[in-house]
Amino acid sequence: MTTTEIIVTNSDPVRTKTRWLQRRRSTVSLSGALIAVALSTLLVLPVLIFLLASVFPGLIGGGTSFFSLRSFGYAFSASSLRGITDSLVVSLFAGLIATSCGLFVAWAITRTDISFKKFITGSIWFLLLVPTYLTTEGWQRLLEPDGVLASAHLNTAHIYHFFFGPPGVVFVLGMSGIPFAYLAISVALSNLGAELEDAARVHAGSQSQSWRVIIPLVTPALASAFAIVFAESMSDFGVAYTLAANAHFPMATYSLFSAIDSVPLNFGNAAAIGWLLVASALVPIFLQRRLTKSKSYAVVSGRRRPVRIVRLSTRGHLVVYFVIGLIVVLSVGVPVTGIVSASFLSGLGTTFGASSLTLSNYTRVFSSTVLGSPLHLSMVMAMATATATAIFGFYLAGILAKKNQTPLGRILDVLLLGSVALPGIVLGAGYIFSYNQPIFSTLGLDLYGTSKLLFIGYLASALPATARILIGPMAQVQSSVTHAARVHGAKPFQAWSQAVLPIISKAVVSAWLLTFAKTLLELPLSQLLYAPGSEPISVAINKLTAGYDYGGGTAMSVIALLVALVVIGLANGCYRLLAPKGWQKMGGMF
Amino acid sequence: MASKRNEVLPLGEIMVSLKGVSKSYDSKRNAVGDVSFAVHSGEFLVLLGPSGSGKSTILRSIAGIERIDRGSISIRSRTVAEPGLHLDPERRDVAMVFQDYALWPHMTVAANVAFALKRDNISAKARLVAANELLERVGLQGKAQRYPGDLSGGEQQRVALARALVGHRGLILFDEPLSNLDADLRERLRIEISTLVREARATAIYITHDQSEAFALADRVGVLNNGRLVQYGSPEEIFKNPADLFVARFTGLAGELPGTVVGSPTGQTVEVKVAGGTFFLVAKAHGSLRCGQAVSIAIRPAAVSLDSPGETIRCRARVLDVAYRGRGYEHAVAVGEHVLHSVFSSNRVIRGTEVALKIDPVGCMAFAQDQRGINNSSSASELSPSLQSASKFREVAI
Repeated sequence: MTTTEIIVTNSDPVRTKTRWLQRRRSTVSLSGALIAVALSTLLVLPVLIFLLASVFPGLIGGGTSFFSLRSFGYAFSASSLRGITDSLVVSLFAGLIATSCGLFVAWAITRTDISFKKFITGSIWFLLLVPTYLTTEGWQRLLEPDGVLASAHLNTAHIYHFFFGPPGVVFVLGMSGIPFAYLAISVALSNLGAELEDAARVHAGSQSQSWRVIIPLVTPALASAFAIVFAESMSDFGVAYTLAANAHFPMATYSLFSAIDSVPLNFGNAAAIGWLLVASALVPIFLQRRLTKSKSYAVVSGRRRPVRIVRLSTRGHLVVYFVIGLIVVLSVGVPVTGIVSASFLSGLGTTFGASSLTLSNYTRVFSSTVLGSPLHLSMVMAMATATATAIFGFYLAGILAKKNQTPLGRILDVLLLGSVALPGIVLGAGYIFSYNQPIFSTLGLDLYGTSKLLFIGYLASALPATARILIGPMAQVQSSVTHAARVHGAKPFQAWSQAVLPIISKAVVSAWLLTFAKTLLELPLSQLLYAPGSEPISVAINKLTAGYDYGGGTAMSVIALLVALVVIGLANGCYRLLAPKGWQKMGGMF
Repeated sequence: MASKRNEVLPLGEIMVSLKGVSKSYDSKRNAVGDVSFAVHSGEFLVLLGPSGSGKSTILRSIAGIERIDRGSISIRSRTVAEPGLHLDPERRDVAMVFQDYALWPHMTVAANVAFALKRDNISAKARLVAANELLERVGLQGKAQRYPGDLSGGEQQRVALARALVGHRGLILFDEPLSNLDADLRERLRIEISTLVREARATAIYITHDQSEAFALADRVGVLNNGRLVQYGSPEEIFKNPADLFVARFTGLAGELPGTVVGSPTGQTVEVKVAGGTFFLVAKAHGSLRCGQAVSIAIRPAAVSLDSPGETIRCRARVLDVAYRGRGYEHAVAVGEHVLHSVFSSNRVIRGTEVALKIDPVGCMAFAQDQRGINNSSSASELSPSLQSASKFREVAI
């Protein structure tokens, strides 16, 4: 072996500077860890304290004993257990409906030659933006005895009675779950290359046998779709608070809400129900992870061939259009028609019934400061939440997307996965309980009863899902992209801003828009955490509806939805106008 | 544009030196252990080794992408890495071609190339002119405004090459740049890389697992195994005098035959009785070998043939497989229980035929067998059942 001895001089002029650079790097990673820990503490710890209060009522004063299982006794009592079982049954059916519909739509979009694909996917995205309480509102305004259809002299009583109960709850949650199921399944179907079908056809002998090979390959996607919809339905508050509560069909989230909304407040009982809710949402997610981890379903490789598009016959086209049309009409068309038509009627909800077409509802919403301020507040909150979520989500996704995860990354991964399954109502209850403790005042954190706490709640609610959404695009950015920039002269920030950010800019914008739209109309946290005198729009809409001002409520709903659509349109338009052409070639969600 | 770095550093001076460099990822095993070498200005060094041998880690440590645990790395006599010191990649003034090209998909081809000039504080227009000039040299004129996604694999690699060359950094690192390309394109690009790097008078450190690529490109070759530099020298030195059996194997063998030393005709050669056979081979002795010692004879492909002239030793063999290679045929033959590959003949010899094998002592090297015996030589019993049955069938027929 030939080696050359090298004398290393110690009088290196850059040594001092590079040592400083190394210290700075350590500081950066330390500050990163601190930010991550601070975020986790601020967002997650209050909920943990609240949940622990179910078994340790004396943990933070107030309780009579340090340890007690009395709250769980309440959670398993007949009245409370009814809410849990109702939620479980409803979520099971909603999961099945959404997964079936999602599978059909995903198959039609990714595997057939149907037209109007952009319109269909647009409808799916729109459905994702519409909260369940607005879907319920639309159906109710249309079908109720003194509703829109009744004022057009159409008798819808029998449909209304069917809708006004468990079937309606299952229906709304099932329809609202379609976007989640569609997204999970369409990715899997898009990645199932034609070579797998070819191999199955060549070796199976018949079409049906080949399908027996193909279908199990999308099993993880179907399981994911069901798990997501099930968890979303379990944690839904919009339907529970409106349709289910009015129909005297108690659901778990409403039971929890009742425990802390009526005197005497009982956080222990609420926390015990919270545990059951979290457990119910986690079980399918856990099962789905076990299913996907026990076998390898990896079908994506560099040699993947494009998917095979099925050319449908005329009859096939008609069947597909009919089914998808029915899904779009029932999930989007009817509720939107209900809300929009109700917003133009005067006297809806009064004992006199709807009388005439009018713009007065909109005039009131715009002119009244009482009604105008919620829209303004919600817009500001949604923009602030979306911006903070995009920034922190991007940062957390960067940590989580690394191949060699640090212990911090693994802890964050578990925390974020757990937080995704955390229902908004549990989060809100946890914040009320924890941030009302005297210790926060002592620390100078007087957040309880302020809009700041609502903002933190929104952030905590949106961040886990957004971070997990951004992990995908971040993980697709090869580390060599950054290394190449650094080696060719870019400093760390330049490498990040010039090489990484443009690649994922579309995904970040998409995450911002999704968070904005979801936060603008968010209900459970808004209902629990809004500051007195500063109502978010979702609370204002439900207050108007509860006060039988259906015209005002629906007008405000329409405006809120329009605002969401306008902001999405503007943001997309600005991106297309201002972003360099190369940025726009990168993938995104919208 | 003249190379600023090459002007400062005349040809022949040390451009990069590694001294006792070690690096581990999981504290159980060194990815790189105690590696030292020096590369002179204008030299083309190829680090050759199998997967996991540590060649990528060394290259990435020189680039500043990895931090070393022990030892030191100097570039242009400036220490850039040692324990407690790590100069960031952008401050090392190097260029690099990545295995996956690492082109920025949102930038045009011209912008990708021009990016490497940003650190030189020249105007955007001048950067673009320089980028276009380089693109023309690598045959990508007219594709400057395309995006990397619109180009073929070979074109993308040319863009990566242009990006590395445009800044005239003096030191260019190549991380298996041809491994993702097909054979024909790989050969063409190899010639382009060799030509362009030498025209630019740049120093190159190039890693690969392909010995033919290494020997074709290199002024010097460093062979790595299990994170250690096992041999460092010119391609000819390494091919003719491999440091050990691993280097011999990795630089191309027809196969290995086990045997026992029975004599030493010249002092530098040994006579070996091949185990299980009735013939003797003369081979160059590597290390001190004594009579009666078990050895492994490594045979270069060029040394063995079915019909080559010259001073040869004949032994009986059976043809197991034959492959047409254009200039003739390459055969796999069984010598007793052992198999030799790439045995050339201008004529096709059908499978199962008993042949007389000619082995040239010039291409035979004897290495002391380690206690585990010959672990990398293939034996007939390890062949696929179809080949074994072909062999047996012939035996019965004979």
